[in-house]
Amino acid sequence: MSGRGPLLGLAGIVCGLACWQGLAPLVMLPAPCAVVTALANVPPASCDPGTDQMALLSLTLSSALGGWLIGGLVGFVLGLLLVESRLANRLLMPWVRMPASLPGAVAAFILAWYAWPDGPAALLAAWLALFPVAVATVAGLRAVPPHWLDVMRGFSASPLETFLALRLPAAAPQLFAGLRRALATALAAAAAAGFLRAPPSAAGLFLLAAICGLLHAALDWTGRHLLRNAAPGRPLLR
Amino acid sequence: MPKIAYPWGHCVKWPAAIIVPGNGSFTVSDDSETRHPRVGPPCTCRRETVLNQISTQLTDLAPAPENPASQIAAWDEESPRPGADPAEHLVPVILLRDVGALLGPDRAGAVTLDVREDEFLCLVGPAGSGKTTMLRGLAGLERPAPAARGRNRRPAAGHAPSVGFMLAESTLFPWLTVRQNLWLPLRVGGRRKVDPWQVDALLGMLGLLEVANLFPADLPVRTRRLVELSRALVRDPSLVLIDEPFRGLDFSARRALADDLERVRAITRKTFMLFTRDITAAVHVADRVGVLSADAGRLLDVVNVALPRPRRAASPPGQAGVVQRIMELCGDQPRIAVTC
Repeated sequence: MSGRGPLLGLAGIVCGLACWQGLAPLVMLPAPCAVVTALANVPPASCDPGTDQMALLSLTLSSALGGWLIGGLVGFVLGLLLVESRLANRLLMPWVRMPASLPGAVAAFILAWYAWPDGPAALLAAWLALFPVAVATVAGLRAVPPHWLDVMRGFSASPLETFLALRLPAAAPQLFAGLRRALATALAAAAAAGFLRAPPSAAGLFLLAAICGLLHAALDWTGRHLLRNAAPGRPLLR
Repeated sequence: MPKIAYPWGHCVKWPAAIIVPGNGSFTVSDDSETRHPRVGPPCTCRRETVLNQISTQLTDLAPAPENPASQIAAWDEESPRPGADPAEHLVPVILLRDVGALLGPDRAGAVTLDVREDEFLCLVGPAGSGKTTMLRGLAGLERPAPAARGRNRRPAAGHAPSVGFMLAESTLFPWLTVRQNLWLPLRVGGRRKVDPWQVDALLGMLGLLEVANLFPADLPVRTRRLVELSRALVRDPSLVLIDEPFRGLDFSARRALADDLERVRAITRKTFMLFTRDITAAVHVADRVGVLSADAGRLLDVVNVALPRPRRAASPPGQAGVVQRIMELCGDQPRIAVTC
């Protein structure tokens, strides 16, 4: 299965594109062939940077990735705080619950409030990436079996040693799942922010989707190889 | 039986430990320095030395399985006379006083027992007889239930270094190989200078070198339990506590694991305490079997198992009799699990 998996995935993509090509007149989106033609005809350097699709795309991607990294880091620290400190848990939990349900529509407000071009998109991406990671960190660290902790206590391990040797590796699968979810959220947020700034083109959308797929595959691959022994029912991430 | 030194120069003649729970305090004092000065040079292990020593010790100890007679001779120089207390000549090294205090203030004074040097003591009892609580208390994971409730109910900070334990649950970390799992106790708890060959020497003595690079998920349950036991041994403790090692094993695997326990005991000559519900397996491995009552923390009796060793393969004559006697002892306890 593992040998044929990528091939089958490729076949799936080709089939999907063929269906899209056939059904293009029925849906609003242009057919893949038209998208490829449009991409091929993009002028090397557009005169107007505001509508240059390539510049927009790179801006969207960089803000999504930057937001994902920052949001992931802050989310991890936040999750750690929520687990480790009861005081922090009491103080921060209402805040975590509230903005996690913020709808994407606030993007418009954030865009209107901040003037500089790529800041808001990254900020929005970080904001929305923060909560999946925080929640995953909390869930992962809380799910460490108590008898494993007993074993570390039996070795008279310090809290830091217990964290590094046991709790972090034990929480890693959940953490990775949270990071994957956060990547999807960050990309969606950055794309939405980009759309508000300039009208999107089908070609840009298409490229963005392709790059999203590649990023997810890369993250999947990393996770699978890092965590291949993380649990008895391995591989953990499928 | 000649005493076997670990290749890294630790003594195998155990330091005495005196364990006295009571008054809400729980101490393990280890006067090893006074009674049994460490023998042998400090660790100067090289790969060749270690492997040589392992091979000589293995040939001394465990001859080829097709020659059981020589194995018996090697293991069993101190084979007990029929009917004699097999641990008679051994000094008590661990004095368990009021272990019942772990179960609650009203149980104080309930279980009092002397564990003798190099002894394999089994405690059998039905579910709810306080086996696991006793083990956790002895391992330093729990304090005795204090008479004064309140803030000092928090568990002990860590166990005394001379106690190793193996819990009933599977506790090997699945993301580490067998060898890495055994390294872990040597690297945490303020220990920095670790000789990696220490682990390989132990694995070699227990016949686990072949699986050293495998992950726990790749091993059969019985081997996993054996690896857990060797992880409990890797810090060279004086007392080894084992909780319900036979859980989740079928009958033949139980027999095989009991053989393994007997073998590990013969190789390491440590003091073992095993808590189980399986009477047959307990009689298979133990020098003495303590029978706990169903109402937590009462020791009904201690039965001597004066059967020749090794008891592997065929049941030695007389095993059924001992099992029968223990079953009669707990005759009013229908919940006890019997597999015979």
